[in-house]
Amino acid sequence: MSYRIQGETTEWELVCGLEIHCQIISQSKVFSGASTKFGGEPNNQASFLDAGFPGQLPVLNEKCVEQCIKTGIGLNAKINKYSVFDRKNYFYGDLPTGYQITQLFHPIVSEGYIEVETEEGSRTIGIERLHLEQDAGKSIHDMHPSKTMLDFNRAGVGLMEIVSRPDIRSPEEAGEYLRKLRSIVRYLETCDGNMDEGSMRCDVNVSVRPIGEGGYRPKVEVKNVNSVKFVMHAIEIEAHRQVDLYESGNKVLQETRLFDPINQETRPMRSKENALDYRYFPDPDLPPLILTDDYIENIRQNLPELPEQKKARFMKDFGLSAYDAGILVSDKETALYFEDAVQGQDAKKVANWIMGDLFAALNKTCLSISQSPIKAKDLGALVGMITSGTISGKIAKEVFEIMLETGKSPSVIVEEKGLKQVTDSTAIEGIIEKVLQENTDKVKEIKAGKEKLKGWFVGQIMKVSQGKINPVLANQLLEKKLSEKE
Amino acid sequence: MTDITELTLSETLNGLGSKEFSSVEVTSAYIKKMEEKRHLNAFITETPEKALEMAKASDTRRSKGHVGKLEGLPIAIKDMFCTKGIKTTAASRILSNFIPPFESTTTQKLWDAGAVCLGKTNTDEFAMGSSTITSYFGVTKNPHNENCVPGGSSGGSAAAVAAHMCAGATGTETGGSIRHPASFCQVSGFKPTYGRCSRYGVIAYASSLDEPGVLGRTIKDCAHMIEVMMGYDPKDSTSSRKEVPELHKMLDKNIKGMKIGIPREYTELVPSNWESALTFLKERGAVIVDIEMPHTEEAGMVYYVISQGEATTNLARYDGVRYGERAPGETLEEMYMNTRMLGFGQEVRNRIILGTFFTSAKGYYDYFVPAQKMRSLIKQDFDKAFEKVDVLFSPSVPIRPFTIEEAKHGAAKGRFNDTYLMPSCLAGLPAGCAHNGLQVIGRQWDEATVLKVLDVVEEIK
Amino acid sequence: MIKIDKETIKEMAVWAQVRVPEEEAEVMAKEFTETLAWIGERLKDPDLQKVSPMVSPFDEPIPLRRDEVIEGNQSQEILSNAPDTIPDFFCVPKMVE
Repeated sequence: MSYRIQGETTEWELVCGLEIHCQIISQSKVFSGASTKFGGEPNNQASFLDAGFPGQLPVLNEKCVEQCIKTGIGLNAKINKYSVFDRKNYFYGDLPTGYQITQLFHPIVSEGYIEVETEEGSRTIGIERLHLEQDAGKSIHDMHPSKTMLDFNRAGVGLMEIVSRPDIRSPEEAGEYLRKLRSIVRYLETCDGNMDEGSMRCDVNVSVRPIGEGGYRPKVEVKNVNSVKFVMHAIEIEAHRQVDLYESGNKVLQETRLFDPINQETRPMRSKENALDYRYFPDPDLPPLILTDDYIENIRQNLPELPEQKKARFMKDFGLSAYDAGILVSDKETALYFEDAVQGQDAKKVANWIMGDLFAALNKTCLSISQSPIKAKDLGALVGMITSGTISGKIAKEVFEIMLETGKSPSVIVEEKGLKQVTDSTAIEGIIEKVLQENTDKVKEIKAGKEKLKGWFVGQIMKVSQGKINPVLANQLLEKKLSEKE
Repeated sequence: MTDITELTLSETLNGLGSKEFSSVEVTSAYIKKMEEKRHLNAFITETPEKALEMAKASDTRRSKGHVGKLEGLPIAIKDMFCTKGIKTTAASRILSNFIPPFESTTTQKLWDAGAVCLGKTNTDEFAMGSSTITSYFGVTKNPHNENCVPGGSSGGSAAAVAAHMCAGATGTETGGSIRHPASFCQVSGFKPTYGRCSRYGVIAYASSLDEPGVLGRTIKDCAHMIEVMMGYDPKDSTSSRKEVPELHKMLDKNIKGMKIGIPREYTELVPSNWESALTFLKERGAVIVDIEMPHTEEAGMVYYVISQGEATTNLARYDGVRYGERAPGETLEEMYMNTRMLGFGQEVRNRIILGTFFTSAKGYYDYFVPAQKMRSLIKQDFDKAFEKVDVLFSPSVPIRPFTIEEAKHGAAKGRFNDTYLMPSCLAGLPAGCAHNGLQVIGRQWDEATVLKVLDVVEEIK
Repeated sequence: MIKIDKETIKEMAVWAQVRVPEEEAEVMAKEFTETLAWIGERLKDPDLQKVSPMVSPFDEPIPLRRDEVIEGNQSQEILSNAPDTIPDFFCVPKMVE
């Protein structure tokens, strides 16, 4: 079912677009030679340019350009061979020069799209543009009673602002879009996608319209929505607020609002922000950025594998289903884990172990796959031991639990606990013989035709052997022994 | 011995080279002259101790055989160039206590060539003006007539050169700020092609127009200094990688067969020596060509719109947060407002407000972009002219210096004040004027020809 | 012809964070209206339609810098001119969101 908001008078549809700021992975800042590292001593990673000193001039970092192009290609977008840097003018404590260098009129990337999987199938979300700009500094409001403290370490870090078209129709779709985008920049290593540390930040544009109405109604920009969960939440809340306004005969103001996750509401920012004219114009300190086909092509050739490509390869090389492959590539770490684990192993089994037991265990302990106590190689080895018959599937579950707790390799655990499957038929036959002798009455019943009791015997045999006998083998040998008794 | 400060920069270099005198001696002589002429208010900051220290170091270098191109020469720096550890104010209260922790590229090149720093010269606040009367540090007087302004905005540098308080000085041009005071103070001034001198460390007024340059007593003096200041700087994205020729060696006094264009629009008002100047050039073998530059008249308007639009954002950083004088306020916005009210003079505040209009949604498409288009037409005038001629020749400022009183009542707004100077700034072309108030404008990157012709023009009485 | 009123001047002043006293705003508005009329006249040149705007006289390609850390570790110099600091931070009156 499509996402609909039922009002008193009519049904409403959501129209939503996301503006996502991604901090670019680079050693130094976009226009200065200061470090981009997170968490240094205050103002110690600020150059004179970053702190807005007089006479300081910007010089463009080639890595940031390359990262934008990579991301642009990953977003199936057009790389513009001509782009221009503009000044966006406003006063704020964390903006040291009184203007931000950004790209308004001619962005470096435009016209891309992302495919997202929803319950209703695949949908295409258009991307209007990706442009390169500077990050601002940080203001700290809570360390002094009457003062705000400013740190310009973050000022000048390169940002890619990725602006989607208003193609999103449900909060779930917004969440999927955000996850997919994060996965792409992580695959490409152009942004670490870490929303907690603010290296990826999201503003949401929300409007609503009655089903069937063309055109767009005034949109509200909701700022500072900094997790996938909050994005979905904020959209839901803001869309309902707008529907309520329309339904009660009011208008929706085109404005900027802040999401308040504690009170579950959006509230307007000071009206001044809304009346601001940013007075964009081309920055005379920076000539236009001209790219050649060769330069772009070279980056395209050296691009790492993207999720879609990886998915196709997993299906082709490992015979995985589209669904399984889709889950495994959904984030880079999982895909890498799978690729490490699968080497020389049964791919389907490895996939099942990851998506089943491992995901469940990680979920329970709130760990990410890169923090998994079980190393990928060890999980692979575990699967290998099942395949070779060294341990049974049942024992494997036990070994898995121990691996989770101790981080030890499965071979060590199996060795230590003596869990190796008994494959020596003489030894197995000995056990069977013992069980049969202790239950001669039941043997007689089988002979009399009570075939069902064979299952009981297998159970007994497994119990005595502490599960170390392969049940198939146990069955075969039991048949053999029973026939000998005749 | 005669007064060393009477010598030109080139002569002083020779004297230093032949050990006629030391840098300490030259520097001491200039320091003495600075004291004598202090009432002109040419300097905002004098650095005599620093100068003597640098002079001593220079003499030591020379004794060891390390001789830079400007070894031991005492010069003055317009207070728009950031100098590490030396107060740099842009003649504004808002920067009145600013000590830069870095050095501008062009001044660094001067020191690397052995020059000695005498101090920082007065200017219109943020170089906005052509009288040097808007300085927070007071008016500079014209050494030739102390009731008059020295012109501007590099008025302090021009007065210092004219009064022999330095061997030469740096200046900056945005709309004629070197040639204007050079003309008023009867000294030489030169600015190279936009992109020749790094703007790194130069306090920005209007970034697409600002270009560092020099003032000297002779054209040759200017050539000596500017060839040191020019050249690629990786810290400035609008700095050219083109090779810099040894300009002072190219002044061979030979202009035979050279085509010199006279833009008709630049001769509406001419000084009394104009006709004899043309005759002089013809006698030297130059071919005089009549040129039309139909968009000349629009330069003032274009300059007005573009320089103010750019200035308004360049000056946004002066907010009392990271440097400069702060005026307290209850809220951040009040603090900004109070600081900028206290720190900027009225002329600067006016330009900031009008520049805000030109870059706003209301003004951008109706004024700013059309002005940028007109700038293209002005540049095209030059492109067409240089298809026919090698250089352009005209008066620089065809009016007499106005008095300080007149300047306070808007004399600088007069029609002929900078009409002949602004077009070449908008087109970013090399241009200079000799002490006799005659100017030469050249092709992009062709500083050599401009200086070569000026070196001859200098002889015109 | 565009007329600049006192309110426009005041609006610009807010954007530019410059204070303009009432009487100054009045004078400025009048002067600026005249100036804009003069500019407007000069921008009627039909040739303007034929050219693109000139942003800068500089016509060489933008230089690209290698991605290296060459600045930083200079917080003392960065803070040395500041009117108000708490060790290693710049301070301003409390900003409210």
